[in-house]
Amino acid sequence: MSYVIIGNGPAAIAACESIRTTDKEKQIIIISKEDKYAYGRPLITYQIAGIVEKENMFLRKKEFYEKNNIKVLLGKEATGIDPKNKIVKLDDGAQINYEKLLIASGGTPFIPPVYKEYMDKENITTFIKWEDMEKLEKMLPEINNVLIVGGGLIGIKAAEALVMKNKKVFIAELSKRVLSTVIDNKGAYYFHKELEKNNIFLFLENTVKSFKVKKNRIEKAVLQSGEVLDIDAVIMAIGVKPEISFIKGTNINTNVGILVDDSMKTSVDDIYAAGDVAESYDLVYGSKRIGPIWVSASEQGRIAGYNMAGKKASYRGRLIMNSISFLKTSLISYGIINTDIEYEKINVFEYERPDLNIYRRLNVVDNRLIGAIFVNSIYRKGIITRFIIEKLPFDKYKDILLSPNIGFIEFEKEYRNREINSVKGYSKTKTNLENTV
Amino acid sequence: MKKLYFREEWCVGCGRCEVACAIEHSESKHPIIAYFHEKIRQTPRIVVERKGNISFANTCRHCEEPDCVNACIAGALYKDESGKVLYNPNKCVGCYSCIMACPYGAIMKDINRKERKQIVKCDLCNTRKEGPACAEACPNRAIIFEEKEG
Amino acid sequence: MKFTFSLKPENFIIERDDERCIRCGACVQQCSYNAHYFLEEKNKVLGINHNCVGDGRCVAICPTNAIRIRQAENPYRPNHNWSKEKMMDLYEQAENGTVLLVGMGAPTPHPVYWDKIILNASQVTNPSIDPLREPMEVKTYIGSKPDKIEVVFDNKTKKPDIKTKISPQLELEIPVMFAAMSFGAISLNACKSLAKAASEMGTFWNTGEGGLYRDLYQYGKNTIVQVASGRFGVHLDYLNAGAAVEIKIGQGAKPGIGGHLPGEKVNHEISVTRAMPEGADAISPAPHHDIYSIEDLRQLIYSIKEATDYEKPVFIKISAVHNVAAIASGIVRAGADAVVIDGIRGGTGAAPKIIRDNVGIPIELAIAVVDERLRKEGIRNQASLIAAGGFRNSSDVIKAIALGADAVYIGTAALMTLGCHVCGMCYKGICNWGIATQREDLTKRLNPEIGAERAKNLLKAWKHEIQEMLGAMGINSIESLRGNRLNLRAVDIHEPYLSILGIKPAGA
Repeated sequence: MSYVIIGNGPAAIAACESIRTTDKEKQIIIISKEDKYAYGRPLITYQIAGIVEKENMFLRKKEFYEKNNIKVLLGKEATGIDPKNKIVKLDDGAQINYEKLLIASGGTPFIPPVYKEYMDKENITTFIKWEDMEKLEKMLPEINNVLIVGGGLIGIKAAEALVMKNKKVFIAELSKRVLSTVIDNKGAYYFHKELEKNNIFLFLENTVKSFKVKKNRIEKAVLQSGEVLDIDAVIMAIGVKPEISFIKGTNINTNVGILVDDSMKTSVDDIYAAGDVAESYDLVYGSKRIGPIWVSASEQGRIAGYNMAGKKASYRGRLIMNSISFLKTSLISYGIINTDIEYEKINVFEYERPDLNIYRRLNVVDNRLIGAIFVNSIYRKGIITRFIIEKLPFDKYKDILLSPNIGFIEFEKEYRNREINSVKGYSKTKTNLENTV
Repeated sequence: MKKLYFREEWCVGCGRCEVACAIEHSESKHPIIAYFHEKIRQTPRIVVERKGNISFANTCRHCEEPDCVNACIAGALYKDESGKVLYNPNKCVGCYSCIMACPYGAIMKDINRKERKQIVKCDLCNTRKEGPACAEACPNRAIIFEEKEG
Repeated sequence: MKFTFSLKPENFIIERDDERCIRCGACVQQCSYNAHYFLEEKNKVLGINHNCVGDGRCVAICPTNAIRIRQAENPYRPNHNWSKEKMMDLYEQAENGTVLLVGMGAPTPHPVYWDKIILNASQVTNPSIDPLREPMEVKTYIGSKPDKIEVVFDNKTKKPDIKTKISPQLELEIPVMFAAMSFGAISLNACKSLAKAASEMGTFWNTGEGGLYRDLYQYGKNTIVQVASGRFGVHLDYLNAGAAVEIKIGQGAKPGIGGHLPGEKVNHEISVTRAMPEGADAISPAPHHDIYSIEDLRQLIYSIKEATDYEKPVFIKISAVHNVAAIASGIVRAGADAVVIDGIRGGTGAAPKIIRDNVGIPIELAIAVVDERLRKEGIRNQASLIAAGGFRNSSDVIKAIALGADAVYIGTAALMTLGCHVCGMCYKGICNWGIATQREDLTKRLNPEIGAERAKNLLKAWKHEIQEMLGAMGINSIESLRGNRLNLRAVDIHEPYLSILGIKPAGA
């Protein structure tokens, strides 16, 4: 009997490591849809830009799998699960028995129906997986004008990579601003400025109505606003949704993703979920949500692994956080950003220095920080996470949170002396909260 | 594993620890050359905070469950066998996810490096045979390097 | 920017090697006298020579050794009568009309007799002793010794026992103790350092006239509690907390006058320890207002002995002045268990300069005449003789014992182990080393863990040196050296000082 993990990303690797802290014996089987060992998908844009080499994209060296008795089935897809008999069915007909199963299948690109017919053309690609990277890499020498559909995190990083390779870039984004889910209008202004400085054409509140194809190549893009663009390639950077197609027929509860409790267990015994596919408790919203965040995937994988191996660990909850550095402009944001939808009683505190391209914004509800945006002002900002996670009172620390220098000196003496001398460091489990709140 | 511990009651705020850190992580390890004649002036991995009569230093805690390692998309931050959390600049892509995630604010931009985006963090001076330079430079034992139970 | 017109010259020059200066700003941040500042526009750190007191803090703190402090030259025409110092003092008084204050001991160019006295060494007929191979007793006892001892033998076991009742004694593992320095004159961290070091080395420290802080009661076994003219912090628990009680009549730095701790320095801890109102000036009057004759002194000595059940030796501390021998004799006859004499080099936290430099005699002479007088009167055994005032090393200690002292108090030397650079600005209360100050940002600079270690190191080193010197002289016990002036010779000391010291010239 083995531990079986569907998926081959950071959650899977983290789970392997935490399983092995407790159980060094039982084999772990990883079922990987892609035929590559675990690698960092976010690194794809850096590879295109020339900042990272392909061989450095892998999360662990080969010895990791050998040393830890992990068998990786490359290029195999899970097609179904039989929880009663504890079997995972693969696309090649094989059946894998599991003692504990972790579903860490991540996300698949979300293609709006209107574009589906174009996805097989020569010069269009999503920008999520290794094969997308290789397709674009092959195209790169011959293309010049590139249209990126979607100005979110993936789209902006793709734009950066292409600009560094001296391509002419167009971005079509549906909302009023780029990075719409992780920044507000005021902060986005600085990214728009950076885009403009680098001759990137940005079409806001706009998207592609249709493409003009010739000889299996997309030649033109017709935008909703009427513009027609001559393009050599298209990158679909619209977004991902959880990959849960193979769960059909089981009674694993899902919503948008797979619902899990704070030990990352699903509604079915011995089946766990972690990463982009999991819909778990969100610290800021106070309810279960999906959140495609790299660091959350690692954390959740680790917690799932402990529980799978019999060591009880209780996840404190996901904190949405994003860091994006686009050429000379950088952003770090946390928690709830889109204040136009969720809460009416958000208090907003801002600090802006347009002359220095600095913008800071704090979203506060009931004297607790629930979201923050920092543009070009990232010094030691990770300390902010304590305010959200531990629900510290906001009014005491308001000035420091908006100032350039955050540190421990503003905290209570006992708190800071305990923290800067922490022996074990900050923990992702609930026990950490009990000590600090 | 021995770690650095900071005693606020003895810190005099002189900043020798920051200077020692920068010099120790320079190429020449010579104070004058490190500060004035090297291509990149090192950013100290230790931060001294001061306000009124209070001052203290703090660095990376080398957490058992490091947020930075979890956040790193490139595998540039890793935990070695001894338990130290270390940084391999060759793998770093400059995404600053580690700065975003570290609840101690222990990771900082390498500000003097212009051609590549990189970070700096405390490595417990793991290649220095006398141990951490900051603890040695402190005139008042406000920084101690020792083993403690959690 | 101040524009006051002043004639006072600078005493020290700050020399900064600009090529070594990395503009870290540590010197700016550390100097409480504000002798350094950072000029942002020029990206340079500059010095204000007039503010520099030469205490070496910046030199030690600078991570690149970029700073050197040198003495400012005499800017005036050379004049043997009107030295730079005399002229400076005069300008100061013309500007302020005040009594000039100083800290630490007299730096005046009186002869230091320790440097003119040399020790013997055994050669052929009386072999020297190797302290690493043979027992070398450095332990000594402070207290009144009886005139004679009656020994009785137990009828059954035949074991001997002493019938004579022996007065209480202090047992010292080394004949060096830490001198009286009050909490108020020095910081609590300084007191803690000395208390800890004394306890761990088997010797004693002295509370001075500041009372005993509650956290220091744990070191009571190694504490000498002082009763001075202001009676600060004196209550029954205080007297019983220590191992001995010292009544302070005077001190070497300011004989004949009292003391003054300004109200700003009387913070909460000091006010509680001294049992006085916070913020009020702490004034010690010149005489004890209940000691106006030797009989009064005797009465106080016995009141204290009654109060402490005769369990603790009572010392009397006086300045070494003109008739120190006669005064000492009176004190011994008044019932003191030890006489403490403090010479002109004795230190202080604050004293009028004119008194410190001009009143009192060198301790070397005082020891000699007191020991001689008490022996002549046949009462030398009735009290121990403790000497204080400018002892710098273990050879000074050995020579003092050879001249007749039982033990020695070190004050300046003890503070130097904690970092003191003898700049003499103690009275300003902003000591950069965290010693002579109560400012929290400064006192934190003195970590008692480090201070106690360094003070202990000094005593350890001196103990070994004393053993070596004793061994070289062919003596294996410090008690055999006491008053043994034949082991001393003088170089370049003329009469009458040679006779006063009671030692022969070298060669004779």
